[in-house]
Amino acid sequence: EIHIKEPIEKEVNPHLLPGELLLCEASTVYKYVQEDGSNRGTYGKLVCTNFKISFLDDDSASDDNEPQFKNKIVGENDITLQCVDQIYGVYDEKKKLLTGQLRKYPEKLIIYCKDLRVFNFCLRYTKEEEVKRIVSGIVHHSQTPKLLKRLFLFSYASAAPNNTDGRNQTVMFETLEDWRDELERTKGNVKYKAVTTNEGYRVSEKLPLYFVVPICISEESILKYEGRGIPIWCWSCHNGAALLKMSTFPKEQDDSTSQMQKAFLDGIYKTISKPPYELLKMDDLSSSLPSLQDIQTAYTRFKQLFLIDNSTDFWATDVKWFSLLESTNWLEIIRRVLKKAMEVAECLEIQHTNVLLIEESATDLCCVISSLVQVMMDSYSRTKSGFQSLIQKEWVIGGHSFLDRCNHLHKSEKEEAPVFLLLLNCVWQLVQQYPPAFEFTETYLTVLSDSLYVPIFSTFFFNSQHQRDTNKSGESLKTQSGPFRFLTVWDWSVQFEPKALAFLNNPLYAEKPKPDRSQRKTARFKHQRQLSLPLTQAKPSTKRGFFREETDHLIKNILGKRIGKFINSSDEPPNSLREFYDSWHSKPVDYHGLLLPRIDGPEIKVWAQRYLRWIPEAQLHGGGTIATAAKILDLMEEVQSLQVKMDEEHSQSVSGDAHSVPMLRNSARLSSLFPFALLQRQSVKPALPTSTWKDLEDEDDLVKRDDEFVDLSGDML
Amino acid sequence: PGSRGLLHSEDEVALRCIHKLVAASSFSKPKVLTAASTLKFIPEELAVFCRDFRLLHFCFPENGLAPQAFRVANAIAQAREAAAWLGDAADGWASPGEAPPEEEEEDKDGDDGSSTTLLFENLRDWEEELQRLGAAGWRVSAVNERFDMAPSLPQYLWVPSGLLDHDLKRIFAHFQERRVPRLCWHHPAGGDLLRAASFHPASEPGSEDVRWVPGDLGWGAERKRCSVVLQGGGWKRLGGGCKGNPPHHFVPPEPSDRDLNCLLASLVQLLGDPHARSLPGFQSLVQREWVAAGHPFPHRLGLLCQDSPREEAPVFLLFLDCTWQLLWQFPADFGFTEAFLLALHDSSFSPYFSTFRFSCQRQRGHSSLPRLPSQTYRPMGGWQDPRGHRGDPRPCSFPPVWAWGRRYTRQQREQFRNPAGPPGPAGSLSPGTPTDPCPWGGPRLVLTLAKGSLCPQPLPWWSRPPLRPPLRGSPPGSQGTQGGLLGTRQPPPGLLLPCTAGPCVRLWHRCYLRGLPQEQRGRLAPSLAGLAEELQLLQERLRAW
Repeated sequence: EIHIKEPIEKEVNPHLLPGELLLCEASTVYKYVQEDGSNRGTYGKLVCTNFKISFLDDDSASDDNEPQFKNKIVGENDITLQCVDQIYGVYDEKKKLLTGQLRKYPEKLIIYCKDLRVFNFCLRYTKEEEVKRIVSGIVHHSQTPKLLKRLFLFSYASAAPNNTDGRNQTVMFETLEDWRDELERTKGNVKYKAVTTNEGYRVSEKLPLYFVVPICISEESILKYEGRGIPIWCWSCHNGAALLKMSTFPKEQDDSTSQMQKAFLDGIYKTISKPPYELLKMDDLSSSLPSLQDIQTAYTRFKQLFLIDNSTDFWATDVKWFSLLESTNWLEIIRRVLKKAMEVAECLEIQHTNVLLIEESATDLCCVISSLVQVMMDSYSRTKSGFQSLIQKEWVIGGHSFLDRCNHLHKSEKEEAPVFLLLLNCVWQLVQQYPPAFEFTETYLTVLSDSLYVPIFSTFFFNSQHQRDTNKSGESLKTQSGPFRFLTVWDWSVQFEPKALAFLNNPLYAEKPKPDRSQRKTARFKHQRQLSLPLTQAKPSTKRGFFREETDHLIKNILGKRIGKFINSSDEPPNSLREFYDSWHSKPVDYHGLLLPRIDGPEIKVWAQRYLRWIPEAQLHGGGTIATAAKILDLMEEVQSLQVKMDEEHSQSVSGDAHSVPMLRNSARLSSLFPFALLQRQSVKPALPTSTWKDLEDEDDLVKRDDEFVDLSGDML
Repeated sequence: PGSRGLLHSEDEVALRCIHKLVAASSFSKPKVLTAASTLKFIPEELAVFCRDFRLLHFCFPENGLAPQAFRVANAIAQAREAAAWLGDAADGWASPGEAPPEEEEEDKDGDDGSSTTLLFENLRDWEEELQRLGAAGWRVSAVNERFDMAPSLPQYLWVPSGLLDHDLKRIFAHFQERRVPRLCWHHPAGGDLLRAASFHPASEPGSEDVRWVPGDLGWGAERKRCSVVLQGGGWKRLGGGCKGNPPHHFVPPEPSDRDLNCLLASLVQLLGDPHARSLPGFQSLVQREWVAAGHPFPHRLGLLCQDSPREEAPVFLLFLDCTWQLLWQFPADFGFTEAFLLALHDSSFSPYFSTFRFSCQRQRGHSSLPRLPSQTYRPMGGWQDPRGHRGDPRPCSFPPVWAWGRRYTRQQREQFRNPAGPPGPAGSLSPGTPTDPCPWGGPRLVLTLAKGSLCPQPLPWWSRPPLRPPLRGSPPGSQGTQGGLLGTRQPPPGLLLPCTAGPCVRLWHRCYLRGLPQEQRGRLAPSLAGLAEELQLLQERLRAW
């Protein structure tokens, strides 16, 4: 199927991807620009395909102000079926959640998206027949349980032209080689080995085809309990300490079985606690972190703050913004996760112990913590390809159940939990605290979070490597001889033009200096810095500080009780974490070394770009940080071009092309919504005493008053 | 490196900047030290909580220093108390004992901003600024030149040109602290921002004096379109004004006209006047609306220790916070940086500047001039003149806080300027408009900000002026200022409309958390300024090639 861009004519046709089928449509649908009571909007056609819900503007001729940052797959008015969060119908001013079968059809449709957009469609002017079809179509395709094979992923993969596999630098961890390379890179290959025991998924369908275990672990023990109770390697620290994860045994009724399991575990612990292995520290994440349930509850409440129906709603909730935010507990969860990751980092870095993360499936919070630890400790994970490889290793191949956790198939609400989003939120905290340490920008993270809901990439649409492999073969499609060729989300050129891709790269990122001879000095310096940590740690007197309480008290007074509580609680474990934290923060930051987030209350922020980008009321017309960043980019660009010029004059040699920097020069004024939305509408908070405004607005009233005064004075007519 | 100058040094603190002094030992509970309650044990640790959010924490090692530790702790407590007392009673006289040992460097290389900053201490400054505003119909009155009309007001006032000094004098008594309505700012589109104290309780609005105030004031002769919206409230900020509305006058009266009026008047100008957002413009603004207008800095900043706590209120610091909120929302519109605001914040606790040492211009003048013994009137605040001069005959003049060159290196001062700010010095705002003939001249709507909302005409004497009903041409839809703001798709150039929604109000980290080491390091981080510098260097080198 070749798609030719339709010439602009009366009939607007949806832009269909290969394999995309138009399922139903309705015309003369009115889309509100933003439900602010002004009823401004446009007429158009609402269509539903097997990929997306799309609104086609009747007069969409305005192609001239093409946004700078545009997604090629999902347009401004497109909502992929997986991106739909909830659909509400409005019946006589009353909102009702739409699921499953409908008896009555609403006059208005409100679609809340998982990427936090909100669409308001008015169906009052649409033919009844079409209303029925489109509403039930949308509800059916986006809200009801689905078979995996009905995901658009498969139709796209079978219909799309054989896309040339743009070999990017992301390590996919699908082969033994990838694992061996990773072992070598982290110098873990002395004590750990990549095993092929799971070929053919003999051990478990949940484990990846290849994985890494301590050398001393035998094949039999791996096979014994389907890989449960086996420490699986995640990453090795520069000092040899390793981060491991392990899935536990399910609660066993049978006493003898649990006895055997216990004995098995003891055996395992014994073997990997002996030299050459470092001391082992275990951390049961199910008890030391919030449950998935808690995370889901918190996020559900949190996102509600940003799914705003209309301007009035916004200003009504704005009054209570800070307490609402507090009550969601989402930021607190982020902080607890960051703190846990720092604890693990401290064990690895300072105490030289191995850390074994334990979780029932070892594919949820284990992934979050192990990824975060690597982002903090391994500067490779802070490059774009390194981060993508990390996501591949820990999440995609590691077996995080994306399908279930995102509830893509609407199978069970209970399984849903924004675990991956939690990781992105945590990484964002680091990115905004230490922008120069990351090769990617927050826009990259935002776009990555959006890609969770774009079902043309296989990356986030399987529960495990096994599930993907078994569904890849394409046996059900007779026409297709070969296996499906899925796209990976890491091929960003599928979604973005090169111009837009520049927004994902941090122009201020400086690559890690290669450890060549001339730079050995800096390398040694870095090493020293790491060595010096335990030394400084010994310096503070062991005597109890009197002022801890005093400071806490002060902080409590300033910042409120909740935060004070946190600062206290961080003292409770042996103070090593606090010391680690303090001593690291008292030194200049090495952007290529260990990176610890600041976790004091005020430092944990709302990821404004992701959550506020569609809310015009919350936009900063001056641009806020984005304007500063744009200015920096401008300057950078100028510096670079000058440098190039100087080099040229210097050696007459043409130097290589400089980093591509987003061309922001011409955009005179950026609002904080940039680059996602270019909204300019002003919304001013209604003044609290509305009566005053009414007084003002009632011109007649004023005129009368003035007249009265004139009459009274009598000296002027 | 680099943050040294901001705090005098990492380990120094001005006595007045000490908020709380706590001593502790392992044998007893931590104790708050004041001059009255002295130490009864030998301290092992001493914590100094500073007003600028630093915490200096000293440990006395147990190697025979014990008596010294005891003495030092008590001495600090005493000295702190003494310093505070002095600040008040001496009415600004330098005490011989208090002379600060640090800060002797006379780094007089260029006065930087202070030369272009109008201090509003002489007639010329007032004239100059009035001219810049293009406020026709207003003049500078020297009626208060000897502070005999209103002691807390500046020497010069902007009043309607139609109002003679003779008549003006009769108005003073009707306002609290004799603070009469006067011009703060003139919007290029024609509206005026005025400020005044509320009526004196004894004043009779209907009395002869007041009645003819407006008539002769002729406020209304040159009425143009303007409106000013204010949304007060908490730590949030204000909305702005814009044109396209019926003529408004706006007076924010508060009982004293010395606190919130300063805040509002200056914030409105920050939003509306690009000049106020330049570095010298901002300094002039603070100078005019706070320093000259008589904001009682020593009381509000809590620098006087015997003051009842009710007197203390961080109005000026609130203003700095508001300014910072604007700054981060509109980074491209300000000529100064966060570092500058922080330096100002820091300096507000330092006792060495005339700016923050005195409550009004009159008091400030006295400190630098030998006082005549025949002072007849007393400062309005009710505090007594001290016992004349003691000892030190040398008139001691403190520098204004704007003499940054004395305390900050050139490099540090470079960080005050925002290279991303508006290009060039911000001139007068849209100079073409001042005498713009009014399309529907005539009625002037006078609004007063009271209790957080704008009310039309609560001042009885405004009923007297000749008013004509507005012409039909006035846009009916955009009557309210709110409507006007909503109607415009883009705010008019030069006007900032900050976002006041909850998620957009941020904590000023670098200020409130500056006690934390990592925040201190980041304060003068080489960011934009560094890049801009590098750029310049490269360009120069290229040119020299």
